[in-house]
This record gives sequence, structure tokens and C-alpha cells, in this order.
Amino acid sequence: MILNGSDARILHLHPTRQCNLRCLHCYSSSGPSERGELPLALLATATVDAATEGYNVVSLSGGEPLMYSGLLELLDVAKANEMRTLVVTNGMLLDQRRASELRERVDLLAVSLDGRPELHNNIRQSPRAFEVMTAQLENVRAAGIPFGLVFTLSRDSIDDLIWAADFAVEQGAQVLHVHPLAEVGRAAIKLADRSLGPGEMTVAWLATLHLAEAYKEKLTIHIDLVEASTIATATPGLFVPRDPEHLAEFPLSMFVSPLIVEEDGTVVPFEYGMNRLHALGSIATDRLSDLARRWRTSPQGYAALRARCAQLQQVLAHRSPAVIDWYRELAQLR
Amino acid sequence: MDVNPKEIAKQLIENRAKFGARSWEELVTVIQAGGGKLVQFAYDPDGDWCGTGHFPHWPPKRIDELLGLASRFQGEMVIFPWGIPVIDSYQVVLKRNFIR
Repeated sequence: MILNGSDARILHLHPTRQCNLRCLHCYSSSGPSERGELPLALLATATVDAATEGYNVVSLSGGEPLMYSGLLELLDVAKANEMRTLVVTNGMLLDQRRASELRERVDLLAVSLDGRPELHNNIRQSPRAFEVMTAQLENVRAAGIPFGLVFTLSRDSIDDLIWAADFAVEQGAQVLHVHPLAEVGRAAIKLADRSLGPGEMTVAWLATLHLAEAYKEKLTIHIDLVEASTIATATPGLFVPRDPEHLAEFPLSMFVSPLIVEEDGTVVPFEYGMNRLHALGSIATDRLSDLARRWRTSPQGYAALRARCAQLQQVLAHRSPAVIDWYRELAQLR
Repeated sequence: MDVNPKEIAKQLIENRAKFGARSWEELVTVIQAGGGKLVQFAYDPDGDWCGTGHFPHWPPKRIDELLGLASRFQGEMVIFPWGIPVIDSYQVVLKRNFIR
């Protein structure tokens, strides 16, 4: 099953910022004191609209999605629309009942991991976070839910990368998804200067490629970094030449994936926190299908984003870093 | 090629600071610009290092940059044809040996 391959067209929902933890690296500054959440009806309608636009994967994050009151119903809506489902969780609330409820509804659980136990607990600001998460994985295995680990890569955790691969195999994970720390949200304050520099990104990327080869029989390993030369020369979906007059004939998923719905209802392309200049609008005021229709053909919509991306592509083609965090670059587009 | 990819990953991570961020960028950028990829890297505690790039054709694109890199690193470059009886690719070893 492919959840992040080229055929995966992803709708990424952030239904709430409520969370049982207050992680130092949280890009959405979620935590226990956050109470708001998006109404289920809004997200259900957005999910149906997204399916019509060709999205075939719903990914739920947060906040902690297991604390979202409408989680099960929302997953049922996704399943009813033949979408695959992914839930990104810190894993601490995956007791037997939760695991049982998710069994038929989730295609892949993505459990966060920040490094060896001491570092994980420090980042999670919880002395038992690692212990509890590891214990709860037993419930996930017992329920037969496929799961992966999402490893946040920073200057502090890069030395734990090989350990993380071994831990993933030991726990029975199918995937190790390596995601470089982005200094946004709470991380911009609490973990300033802990994200990887260009040289470290290059090392991490190379090391991950070799690890992927070493573990290919046991584990799929992916890193959210890409060779700058690939960006400079390739034609990702966003850059596929398309006659603007015919854009309306194509589903939104063909040129924007992932599509993000943030916890306030704002819809943005590609990355949580994307510059609002490129937002499609909000599902709090408009249906996703209407937002997509207007954004596709508006000069301030897809055309503007595509033009800015093309400029970025040119800049990256002449910039020295061999490896880049493409989505982070996109999120900073002005 | 008899290499252990897990051991290479370990070498890369453990020695990232010794080799230097800028050097990493330069090395990988130049190999990629030449149409190749870095397949092995080893670093000795005394400062010697050895990186191996694999190129599908010779000469690689932008070979001047590869030669310039070897010069800047005060290293040496060794080229191995790969494939018997017909050469189908090339290995390029860039290395610096302080004892030499």
C-alpha cells in the first residue's frame, strides 16, 4: 500500500490543536490548554469534496488526532469515499480500546519518535513519553494495524538515526519516515538553531539513502529531503506545463498534494503554515469544492503559486546546497 | 561492489563534523553535477578520508569541477573503469592521505 508515493494524492487535516503533550518541536504550538477543534460536519464535507477532486489519502494530524471528538466518524467518511487513511499520533493514547476502534478505519498509523528515550522524553516534556508510547505499540500490533515511525531529525537526534532504524525493526514498524525539524511554531522559540544546516542535511540524506538500502528487506525508509539538482531539472506535478485555460478540467489533486486544512479551517497547499498569500481560503466560510474552483483559475491562486515556484526552482538551481527541504522552501514563499 | 551500507551510514554520521559541513556540500554537489552519486565514504581518526563516486559515463559532465574539487581538498583522484569486458561505468575515488 502506498501512502506517500507518486500516486498518493493527500488531504492533510489538522482538526485540533489540543494535545496531551506540549512538545518542544511542535510546529502548530499544540498543547493541553488548547481547546478548539473544527466541527466534524465541516471536515466531513471537505473530505467528500476532496475525494471528488481526486484526493485518495486522508492524513490526520494535529494536535493529537486521538483527542479529536469526531475522529472515528471522520475516518468512516474517508473510508466511505474509498480513501486510504493515515493518523499521525504521539502514540501515548493508543490503549486497547482505541486500537480496536482504529483497526478497520486506519490504513497506517504514524507514531512520532524523536530519538533515544532520554531525548524523546526531553522533547516531549514528559518523563514517561517513550515508555508509554513503546508499551502502547503492543496494542497496535495486537490489533493488527500497520504502523510506521516518524522520526524528527535535528542536530540533537541525527546521531540516533541508525538506532531509530533498529528500533523500528524491533517494534515491527513497516516504515521509518525521517522528517527534518522545522523551526516554526514552538520549535522557533524552544529549539532555535537545532535544525540541520546544509552540510548536516547532506550527510543525513546520504546516510538515509544508505540505511534504506541496508534495511530494504525489513523496513521502508524515507526522508523528506531532495537533491537540489532534482528540483532544478525535474518537472514535478506543480511544474507540469498546463494551459491555464484548461485548468478547470483537471481535479485539484493533480497539481496540489498534499492539500492542508489547518485547525482554523484555512486551506493551504503543500505545508502547514504556508504563507497565507497562497491560501485557497477557509472551509469555515466556503466549501472546499468552491475554494478549489476559484483558486484554480484566479490569477492570485494557482497561477501565482506556480509562478513563484518556478522562480524558486531557478534560485535553487544556482544555489550551493546539494540537498534541500523542498516543502520548507515552499512554505516560506512570499 | 562489496560495501556495507549500514556501516557507510554510520561513518557518515559519526564523522560529519570532522569533514565539515561546507566540504560535504561541495563533495556531493560536484559529484551530482557530474551525473554521479556518492556510494561510499570513509574517514580515519587521523584525518584521512576517502570518498567514492559512481559515474555512468566518462568523462562526467563538468569534469573541471571534479578536478577543481580534488585540488581544493589537496587530495588525489583515482579513476577505476568498471565492467568486464566492456566498461559500463566508472568509479572515482577522491581521497586525502596526510601521512603520504
